[in-house]
Amino acid sequence: MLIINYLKQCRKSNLGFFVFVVVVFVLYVLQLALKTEITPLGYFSLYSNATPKMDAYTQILPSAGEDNVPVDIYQLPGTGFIMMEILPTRYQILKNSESCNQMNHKLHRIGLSDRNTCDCENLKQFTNWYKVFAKRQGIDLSDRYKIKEFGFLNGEIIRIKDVE
Amino acid sequence: MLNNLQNIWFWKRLVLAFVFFYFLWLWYSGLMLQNIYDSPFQYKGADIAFWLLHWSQLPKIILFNEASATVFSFLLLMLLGLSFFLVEKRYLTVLAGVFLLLYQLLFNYKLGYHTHHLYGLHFALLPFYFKKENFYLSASFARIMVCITYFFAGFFKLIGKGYLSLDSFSNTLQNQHSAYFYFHSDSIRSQFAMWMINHENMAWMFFFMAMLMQLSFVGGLLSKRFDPFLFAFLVLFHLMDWFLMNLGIFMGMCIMSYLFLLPKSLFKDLRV
Repeated sequence: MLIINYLKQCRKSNLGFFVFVVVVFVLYVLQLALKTEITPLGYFSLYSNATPKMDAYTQILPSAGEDNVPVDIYQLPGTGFIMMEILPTRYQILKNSESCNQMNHKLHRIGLSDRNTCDCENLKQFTNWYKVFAKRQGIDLSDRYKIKEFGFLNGEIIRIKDVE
Repeated sequence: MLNNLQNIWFWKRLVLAFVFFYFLWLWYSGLMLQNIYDSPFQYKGADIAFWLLHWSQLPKIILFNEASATVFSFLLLMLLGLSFFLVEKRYLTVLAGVFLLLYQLLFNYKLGYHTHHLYGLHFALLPFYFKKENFYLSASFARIMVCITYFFAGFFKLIGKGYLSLDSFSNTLQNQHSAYFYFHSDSIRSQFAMWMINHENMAWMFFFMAMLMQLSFVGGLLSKRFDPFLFAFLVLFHLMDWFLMNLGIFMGMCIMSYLFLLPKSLFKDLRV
């Protein structure tokens, strides 16, 4: 078996490198066992679970003004739209998490805890900062813009909710 | 020996050129640190690497202002370029790798989300961080890590049981493109995704095939015989990830597919 032969050869030819390999493997095994991120060189487990059918599929987007018209973030060059998508979504998730850390329950699992207060305090600036960020990316949001949760189905807006 | 060394430098230059151009693409897309340096997020999650970064105060130094973040981005590109031209200077590649890791950590820290879209670049560069005498060991290790990563991605899909639900992938596509359909309903991507949504069986089959492709990377842990297939699977997987799921950010992962193309002769004299 290739992987076993590799480890044997590695141990025989370069002990230092063998130790490095073992350390990386141990990190990965620990990550799996603890179900907690340990290394930023993780693995993807996206779309593993079934996605249920819904009456509307939501996307958090900036609205053009007070009107319920979403801004077309896909006009940005390259893959820039991804940040416009992720940032307000993460804002909503993190501000509703314990100490604004979505992974606090995982920290509890290994006997740790994040009790900081400044992360939540900083998040209060998000709406103002997002406007500055959008401008930097090439989208000019009006002063009256709002971040809203739009519910879509087959390319049509079904419902709209404010994100505060 | 000289011939093999020249071959290694060829592969190293190829990888560095890809990484360099991938970063130009990220720059064009507005995904550099100077775009996000002042975000109100400082997300550490449960990842020890991010906590260490936070405690080190490095974010405060590198992301002090727009200028410092821009200088960091320039340095990263410069190091990649210098490693390309001074291909034999290993320390430059190691330094570029450190900057790459710092970029990934800082970007995720300020994005408020630990996205893994850069680990393909780390695995691709890993063989060149070590002495050339260890190239066989380091390239083989990087290849094994790629196989483990993709196998687990498939394994999580297997135990997540998403494939047991016939309409799951159709719903995933609806969810993924919910806003995109609204703005760009006439695009080829929208048309194809909509066709998939309306043909649940086809969408299910597509998802199932992707899962099988990922699971097949276990073959790479047993033998090198399947490497041409694994190379094709990896590229195809990310190509479809971009086209069907609009996840172009993961295209950089394709760089590591070269690990399945390295000729055996390359290791002949270097094998310890």
